[in-house]
Amino acid sequence: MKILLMGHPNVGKSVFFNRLTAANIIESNYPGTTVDYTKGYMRLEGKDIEIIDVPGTFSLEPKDKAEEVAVRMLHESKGSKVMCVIDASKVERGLYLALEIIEQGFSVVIALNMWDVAIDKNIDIDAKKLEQILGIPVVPTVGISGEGIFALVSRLKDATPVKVEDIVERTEGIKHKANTPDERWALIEGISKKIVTFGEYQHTLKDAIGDFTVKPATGIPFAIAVLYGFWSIFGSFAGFFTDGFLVKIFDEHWLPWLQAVFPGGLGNWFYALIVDVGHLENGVLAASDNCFESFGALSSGLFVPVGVVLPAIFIFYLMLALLEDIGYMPRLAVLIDTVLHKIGLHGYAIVPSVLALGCNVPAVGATRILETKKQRFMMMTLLAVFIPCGAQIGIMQDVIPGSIGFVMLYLMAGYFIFGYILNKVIPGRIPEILMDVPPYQKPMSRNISRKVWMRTSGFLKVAVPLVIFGSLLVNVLYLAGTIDWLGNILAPMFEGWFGVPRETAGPLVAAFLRKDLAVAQLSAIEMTKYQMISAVVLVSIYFPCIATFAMMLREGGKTFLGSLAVLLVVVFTWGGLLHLLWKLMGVA
Amino acid sequence: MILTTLRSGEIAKIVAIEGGQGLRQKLLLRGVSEGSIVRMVSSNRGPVVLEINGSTIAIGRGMAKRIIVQK
Repeated sequence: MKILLMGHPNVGKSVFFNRLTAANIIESNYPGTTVDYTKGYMRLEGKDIEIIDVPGTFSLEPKDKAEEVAVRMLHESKGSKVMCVIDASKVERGLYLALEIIEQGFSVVIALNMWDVAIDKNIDIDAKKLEQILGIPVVPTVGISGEGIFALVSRLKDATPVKVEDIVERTEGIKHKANTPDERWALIEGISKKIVTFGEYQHTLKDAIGDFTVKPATGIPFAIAVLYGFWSIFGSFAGFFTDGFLVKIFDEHWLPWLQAVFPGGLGNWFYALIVDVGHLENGVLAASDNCFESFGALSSGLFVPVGVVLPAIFIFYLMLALLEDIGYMPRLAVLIDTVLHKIGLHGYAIVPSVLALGCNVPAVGATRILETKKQRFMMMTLLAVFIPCGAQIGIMQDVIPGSIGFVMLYLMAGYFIFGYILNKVIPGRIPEILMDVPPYQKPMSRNISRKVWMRTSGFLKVAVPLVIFGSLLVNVLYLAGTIDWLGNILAPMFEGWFGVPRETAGPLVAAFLRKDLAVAQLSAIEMTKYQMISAVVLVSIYFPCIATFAMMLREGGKTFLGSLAVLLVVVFTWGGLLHLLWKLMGVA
Repeated sequence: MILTTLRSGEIAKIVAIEGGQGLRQKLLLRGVSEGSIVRMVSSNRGPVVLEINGSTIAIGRGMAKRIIVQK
């Protein structure tokens, strides 16, 4: 036996899944967190039962790629039982999906989840009566506290296929069948008249805050304050730990210790790869005194991900988790909808865009919640090209603290300008926003800490090996002379068109593996402040890192070639334009 | 009257959804149905934000213009 967890987006399926399987998957207070299915196992009466967290879907007629996955999962799982999770405060719409699944011949149990929210809203539901009418188990639950989940599992064995005609008969007063959407809605209305009573809804302070933060007149200034606060905390927290502690530990203890104990010494090729390549001082090879310049796999290779990026990534994910779980993201989506519509996206595109500021890889996956191919293509391309990831932002904070604001603005301007152009050029429909705005929730510290831990440890697992490998690779290429050769060949382009030193070739090779490593390596090259800005912008907009690359290929398929074409155009125009700007200002 | 002409805080009843089966179905699945009582949260600029039976939903202006309400 297999169990599918199905329901509308943001009804708490992932919370159920984590509870049932003791697994760790991301849960958030906005629709579309699960875009691909997740499998796990639940122990029931001595047997391991496979359980699948299916992406949220409103009906069995899919409207986006995440919903397509859901419907396909259902069709491939004939004979499974379905745990249909319904938001108790929105019973009718949940019942529509449940009826469709029942119609397909599946055994269904219904969880009336967020039962506490329904009580708060003075919505009274007769679960017993609903069970009687449907002929399947119906259990009130509160996913986040775990209430009712045990009862739900124990009722699984009572789930058997039922005929919709019988439900029609038991509802009484419904004359017709339930084969078309209209007939189904009529049946649901008949059922809901018997089981649901809406009491007077008492507005609370939470609703007042909800209204205040979603109306443009008050919501936009509030959003600006939130984003500004986000940025300030991010910068000061990361700066405090990196400059205050980690730089000292790495430069004053770790690097000297490595230089002292590692066999070989300056000039030895193996020592150069692992510890310190050194640099020429008046024609003599001298040892590096900091981990930015040493370039070794165990010096720079550890310092970049752990010493600089880790604090930035940690604080970013902590604040993101808070915004997600409180339920602020959908409100941000509503507020920014008008602006994003001008570039062919709608408000919900803010979710992948903000996720991309952490890491572009999951952000590319999150584009599945956008409805049309055009939107998905645009979003994927724009975020991969213009949105620097948390690791890169973290290292920029440390390397170019004075110019990071300008770099971010220049990239954001590119996002909008190229978005505007792509929207004009690419054929396709732009659907309007239609989205639930969930109530504000008190974030649960358990969920926040788990989410931050999962994302941060995920970063470490990927970043540390890749940065070390990247450092090694670039060092080997340096030693072999490949980087100099590349720099010399491409010199006219680097120096003439982009206005950056030819040595930028090395970091650009590294950028393909890790953008944070690339920016760190740039800091060791002699150049002006303006050249540095240009070089950092180039690192951002030129090829996405290899992990993002793979994800785009997987998610975009053939459209990936289109993304590449856009990328090339952007690199040459947007990168060249910056050089032109410096020339006009007389600084290049 | 058309939904978008409601001002923030005003309460009305949905009397009709003028549109094809597709639009109707989309709205019904979000709980927007004829006979529902709605409270306007935000209608000045951007998407319309509504409260229906205690739940909040944002609807693009183009779609919102197809929804007819009565105060």
